[in-house]
Amino acid sequence: MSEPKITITIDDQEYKVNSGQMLIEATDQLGIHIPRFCYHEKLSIAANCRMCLVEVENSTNALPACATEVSEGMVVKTTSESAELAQQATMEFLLINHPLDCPICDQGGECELQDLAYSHGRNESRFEVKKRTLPDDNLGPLISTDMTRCILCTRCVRFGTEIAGLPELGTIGRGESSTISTFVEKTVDHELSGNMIDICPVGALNNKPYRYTDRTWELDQIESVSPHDCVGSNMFLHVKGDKIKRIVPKANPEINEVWISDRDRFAFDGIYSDDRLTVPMLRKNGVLEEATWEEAIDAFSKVLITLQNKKSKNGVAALISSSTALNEQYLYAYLMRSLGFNNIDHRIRQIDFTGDSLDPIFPNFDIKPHQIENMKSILIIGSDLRKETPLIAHWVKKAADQGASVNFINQEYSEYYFPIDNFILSGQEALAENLALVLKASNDDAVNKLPSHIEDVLNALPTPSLSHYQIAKSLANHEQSFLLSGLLCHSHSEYALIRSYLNLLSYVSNSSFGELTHGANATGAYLTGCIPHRKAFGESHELGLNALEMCTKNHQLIVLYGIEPEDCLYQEKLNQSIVGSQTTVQFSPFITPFMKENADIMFPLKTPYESKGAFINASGMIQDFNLQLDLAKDNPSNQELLLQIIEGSKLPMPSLDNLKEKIKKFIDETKNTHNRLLEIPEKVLKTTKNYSSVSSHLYDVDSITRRSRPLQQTKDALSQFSEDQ
Amino acid sequence: MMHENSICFSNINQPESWKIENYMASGGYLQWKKILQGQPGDKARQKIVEIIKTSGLRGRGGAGFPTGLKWSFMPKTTEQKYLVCNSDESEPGTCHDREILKLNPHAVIEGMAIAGFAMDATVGYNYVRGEFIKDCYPIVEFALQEAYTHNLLGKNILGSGVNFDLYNFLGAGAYICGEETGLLESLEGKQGKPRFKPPFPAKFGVYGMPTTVNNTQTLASVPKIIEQGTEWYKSMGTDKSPGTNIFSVTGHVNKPGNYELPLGIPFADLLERAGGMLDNKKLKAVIPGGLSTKVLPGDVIADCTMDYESLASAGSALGTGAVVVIAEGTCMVELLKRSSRFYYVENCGQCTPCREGTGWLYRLLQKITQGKGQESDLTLLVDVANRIEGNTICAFGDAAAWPVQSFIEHYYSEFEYMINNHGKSIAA
Ligand SMILES: Cc1cc2nc3c(=O)[nH]c(=O)nc-3n(C[C@H](O)[C@H](O)[C@H](O)COP(=O)(O)O)c2cc1C
Ligand code: SF4
Ligand code: FES
Repeated sequence: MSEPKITITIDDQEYKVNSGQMLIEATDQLGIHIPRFCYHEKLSIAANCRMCLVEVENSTNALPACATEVSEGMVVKTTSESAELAQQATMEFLLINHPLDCPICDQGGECELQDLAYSHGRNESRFEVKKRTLPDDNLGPLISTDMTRCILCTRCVRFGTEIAGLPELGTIGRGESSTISTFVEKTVDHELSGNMIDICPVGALNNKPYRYTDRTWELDQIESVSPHDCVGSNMFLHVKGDKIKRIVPKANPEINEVWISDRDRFAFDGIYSDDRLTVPMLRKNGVLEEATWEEAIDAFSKVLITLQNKKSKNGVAALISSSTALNEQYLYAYLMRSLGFNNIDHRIRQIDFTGDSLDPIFPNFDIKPHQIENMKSILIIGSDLRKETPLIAHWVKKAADQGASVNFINQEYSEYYFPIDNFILSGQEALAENLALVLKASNDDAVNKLPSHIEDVLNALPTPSLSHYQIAKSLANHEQSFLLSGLLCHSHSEYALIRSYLNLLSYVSNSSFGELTHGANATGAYLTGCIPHRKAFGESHELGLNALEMCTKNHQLIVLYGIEPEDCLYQEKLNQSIVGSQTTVQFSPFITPFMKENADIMFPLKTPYESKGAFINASGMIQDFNLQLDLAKDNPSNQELLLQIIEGSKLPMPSLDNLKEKIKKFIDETKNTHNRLLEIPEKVLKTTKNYSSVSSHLYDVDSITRRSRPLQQTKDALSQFSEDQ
Repeated sequence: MMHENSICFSNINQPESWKIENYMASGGYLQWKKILQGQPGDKARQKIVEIIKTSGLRGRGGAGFPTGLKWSFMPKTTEQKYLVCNSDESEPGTCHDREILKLNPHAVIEGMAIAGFAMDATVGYNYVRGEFIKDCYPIVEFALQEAYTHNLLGKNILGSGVNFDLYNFLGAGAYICGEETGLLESLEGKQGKPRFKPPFPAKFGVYGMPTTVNNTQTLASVPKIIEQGTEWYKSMGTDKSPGTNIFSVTGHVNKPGNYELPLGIPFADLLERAGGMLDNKKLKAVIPGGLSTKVLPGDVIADCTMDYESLASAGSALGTGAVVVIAEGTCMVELLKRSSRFYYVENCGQCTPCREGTGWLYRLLQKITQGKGQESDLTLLVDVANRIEGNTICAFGDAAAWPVQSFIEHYYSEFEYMINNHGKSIAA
C-alpha cells in the first residue's frame, strides 16, 4: 500500500515524502539527522525530551519532529537559529543534573547524550548548584543501573509496556523528583529485558556482566546468529582480541526486528566456564588422560574401522546435537552412514517416533517469523512460548496487539502479555484429543474435506465444546491463520498424532503451520541425514534406531556429538547406556565429572561462537556465521577434526563445496511441493503413554546456556532450580 | 447600572442556593427541560452550538478560547463522546470555581447537560480539585444525586430519548491536572502528564474518544445564556469580551473576594468594588489573570479595562480572572521566588525544560534572596526562562517563564539592589 506523496521543504530543499508519518521518520529516511532521545522507531511517541525541536514555518514555537506529522507544503528548518537555540536549550537542561562521569561510564563512546553534548552543548556549565543524585535499583543479574544518569526519556518504560507487554519499569514522583523505578523493589525479569540496555540512550541502564570491563571503542564487532533456539536471531558479538565481551542485536526485520532475547545476549558467558575442554582425552589403562590429537583421532578411527568390519553394524549409536552447524552435521552423518552405521539421530528430546514414516523432509514452518505479525488467527498448541522462543512470542504479541485472535491449547497456563481469546487448559493426556476436537469442529463446514477414514476417527470423539468451535471458526474465518506447535508437542508421547492432527487442521482450515524445534539447526539435521530413516536431502534409507531406542540399549560404541547427557529428555537412560556401552566417545566443548568417568575418547569442540558454519532456522532460512574466535587457537576446527577422522577411517573425502547452496536450493524446491500428509499414524503410542511433565526451561536449553553465570542467577533459572528440588 | 452577579452568581444570595428546589425556584433546569421536551434532535443540537457561538462566550479556564467554536470541533459521528468539566481550579489566586461549585452546583450540572446534549456526548465527568474534598465535593455529590432523583440526568431523561450520565471525580491535588490533557490522563487513572497535541481532545480525549473540556465557570454560564438570549448576554462586556466574568480579587485590598462583573470594566472600578487598597497603600503592581500571567506595574494596569483585549495589549492576559493586587512595599524578588517555587514543585516532570529548568529558576532566586546573587544571575534567569518558554508539551512551561520574564523586566532595579546589598530588599 503506497501512500500519496506530498511535498515538504527541509532546509531549503524540496522532498517528496509519504504522508501520515512524523517528520523525524521522513528525515531519517532522507538521511537528515535530527537529534533525539525519547524517540525510538519501535516505540510509541512520548515527545518529552524536547531534543528534536525544529523550526516549522507558521508555528510560533519550535515543534518536536518526532511528534509533528508531515503535511503538504510544510517548510522545516532543522538547523536555523531558532531550531538550534531550542535544541541547545534542551541540551543544557539535560546536562545540568547529569553527572560528569563519562570517563568511568560504560556508555562512554556510544552515548547519545555524550555525542549530542559535543554538537549541542556548552563548553562550560552555568549551573552552580549541587547536582541531583539518585539511589540505584537492583534490577537483577543482567541490567546494572546508574539512575543518576537517567534523562527520563521513558524509552525503557515504553519498552516494557509496549514491546515486552510487562511494565516492569515506570516513572514515579513528579517534577525534579521523577525517577525511573520498579516502584516496589523487585527485579526486571522479562526474557527480553536486556533490550532496555540498548534503548537507554545514556548509561543509566547498562549490561551488568559487562560492567567496567572494557571501553567500547576497543571492541570489534562481528556478525553472528544465535545458537540457542530455532529462530536464528541476528546479533553482533563485541569482541576484544579473541574474547567475547558482550552481545547486542543486529536488526533483521524478518527474524528479530531490532531485539534479541536475554538468552541470546547473555548465554555466551557459558563458553568461558571452568570445565571447558581444550585438549583431547583418551582412556589409557582405565584412566582418562590428556592425549594428542593424532592419538585420539587414531584411536577413534581404529574403533570405527573395527566395527565397520563386524557383521552387526547395529552396535554403533551416533547422537548429535541439533545446535551444531550444517557442515558438521553433514560430515558426521557422512562418516556414520559411509561406515554403514544407521543408528544416527539428533532428536534427543522426542519420545514418540511412530510418525517417522510420515515425517516431512524437514519440520514444517510455512512462514517467516515476521509474517506471524500479519496473522489474524493463531492457534498455539503445547508451548511455553515465551520461554521456548522469546522472539516468536514477540511476533505473536504483535499480531495479538493488532487484533489477531490468539488461542491456546496448553497443559499449563503461563502469563502472556497480550489478549488471548480461548485458552484450553488441557492435561498432557488430553492434548491430542483437544486438538482433534478443534479439527472435528472445523470439519463441519470445511471447504477441504477430510478422507472418510479420518472422519470416522473424528466421529468417534465426543462433541467439541464452545471453545473448540470458537477456535475452529476463527481459523476458518481468517485467511491469514496460523497453527504453531511448541516444543512440548515435540516431547509429547503422542507427538506423531498431534502433528498429524495439525497437518489435517491446517488442510481443513487452510492455515499455515509451523513447528518449533529444539536447538538452532534441527532443520539442518533433517536435511543432512542426522535421522535414522533418511539420508541427506531426504533420501530414504534403511531404518536405524531412533534416539530413544539408542538410549535404551547398550552398544559397542556410543558417540555423542555436541551433546551432554543433560541435554537429553531421558538423561537417565542415556547415562545407563553410556555406562553399559563398550566404548563411549564424546565431542564436546565441556567436560563433566560423569563423562570424565565414563568417556573413553573425548574431542574438544569449538562452540558455535568460535566456529564457522550455517544454521537453518525453523522457517528454513539459512544463515552463515564465520567466527574465528578461539580459546585454543591451535585446535583444529570442528570441520577439520571431522575430516581428519573421515580420513583416518579410510573413507573417501566428501565434498563440502556448495553444500549450503545445494541445501538452499533443495529447501526452495521441496518447500512448495511437499503436500500435507492427510494421514494419522498407524500405530499410535497408546500403550506406553508416559506423560511425565516436560517443561522447557528458559536457561537450560543447551550446555552453553546452562553454564552462563548471569543467566543462572536470574529468577527464571533460580525458580527452575527450586522446582527441580 | 452595573450588572452584578447576573450569570453564575445570579442566585447565590438566596439561602441554601445549592439546593435543587431553590435553583429551580429561580428558573433553574427550565432550559434543560425545554430542550428535552422540544425535539431533541440534531437540529436542536446545532441550534445550541449556534447560540453559544453567537453569544461570544469565551472559555474561563485561562486561554479564553471561544466556547461555541470549541464545541463545533466535536465530530458528528456516532461513537461515544465525552464532556469534561474542569473544576481542578488551582491557578494561584483563582477561587471562583470553588464558589460556583459550593453555591450554584446545579448551574454546572445543567450547563453540562446542555453542553453534553449539544455535542452528543452522553457521558460527562466533573473533575474536581483534590483539595476540595471537604467543602465542595460533598455539595457537588449531593447536587448530582438531587439531579438524578429529579430525573434530570441518566438514561432517556424525562422520556425524551436523551441520555446523559454525569460523574464527579475527585483529583489528588496537582496543579498540572488542570491542564486539560493532564486532566484526561488523571481521569483515566494515570499519572497527570499532559499529552502532546495534536491530536486535540476533540479527536482523541478520554479513553481515546472525542472529548470537550470546559471550565466550570464556562459551563455554568450556559443555562443563563440560553435563558436570556445572546443579545442580553452581549449587552454586557465589550465587543470581543462579551458577558460577565468572575474576578477573584486577592492581595492588598480591603475586601478580597469574587466579583461577577461585566468584562471590560475599568481596573479602577474593580479595585473600588474590592474595597480599595489595603491601608490606603499605593498600588505597586497587579498580576491580572492568575499567577501564570505577566505582572503589570500599577501605572500600566491603572489605564486598563478588565477584558481580553485591553490586558493583552498591555502585555499580559485576562487568564482566569484572578487579580492579585500588590501594594507598594512588597518585595518583588521574594514574591517571584515564592511564585517560582510553585512551578518548581508542581511541574509534572516529563519534559526536560520544565523538569530541569524550573528548579534552576527557583534556586537562582533563592541564591539572590540569600544575598549570594551576582548581576549575571539576572541575565541567566531570563535566559533560562526563555529557554523553557515555548519548548514544552503544554503551556506549563510558558506559565513558569512568564512571571520571571515580566518581574525582571519591570522591577530590574529591585533585583539589582538586592544583589548589590547582600540580599537586602529595596522594599523593606
Ligand atoms: C498548567 C495549566 C493549568 C491549568 N489549570 C486549569 C484549571 O485549574 N482549571 C481550568 O479550567 N483550566 C485550566 N487550564 C486550562 C485548560 O487546559 C483548558 O484550557 C480549559 O480547561 C479549557 O476550558 P475553557 O475552554 O472553558 O476555558 C490549565 C492550563 C494549564 C496549561
Ligand atoms: S533509564 Fe535510560 S531509557 Fe529509561 S528513562 Fe532513563 S535514560 Fe531513558
Ligand atoms: S525525540 Fe522528539 S521530543 Fe524527544
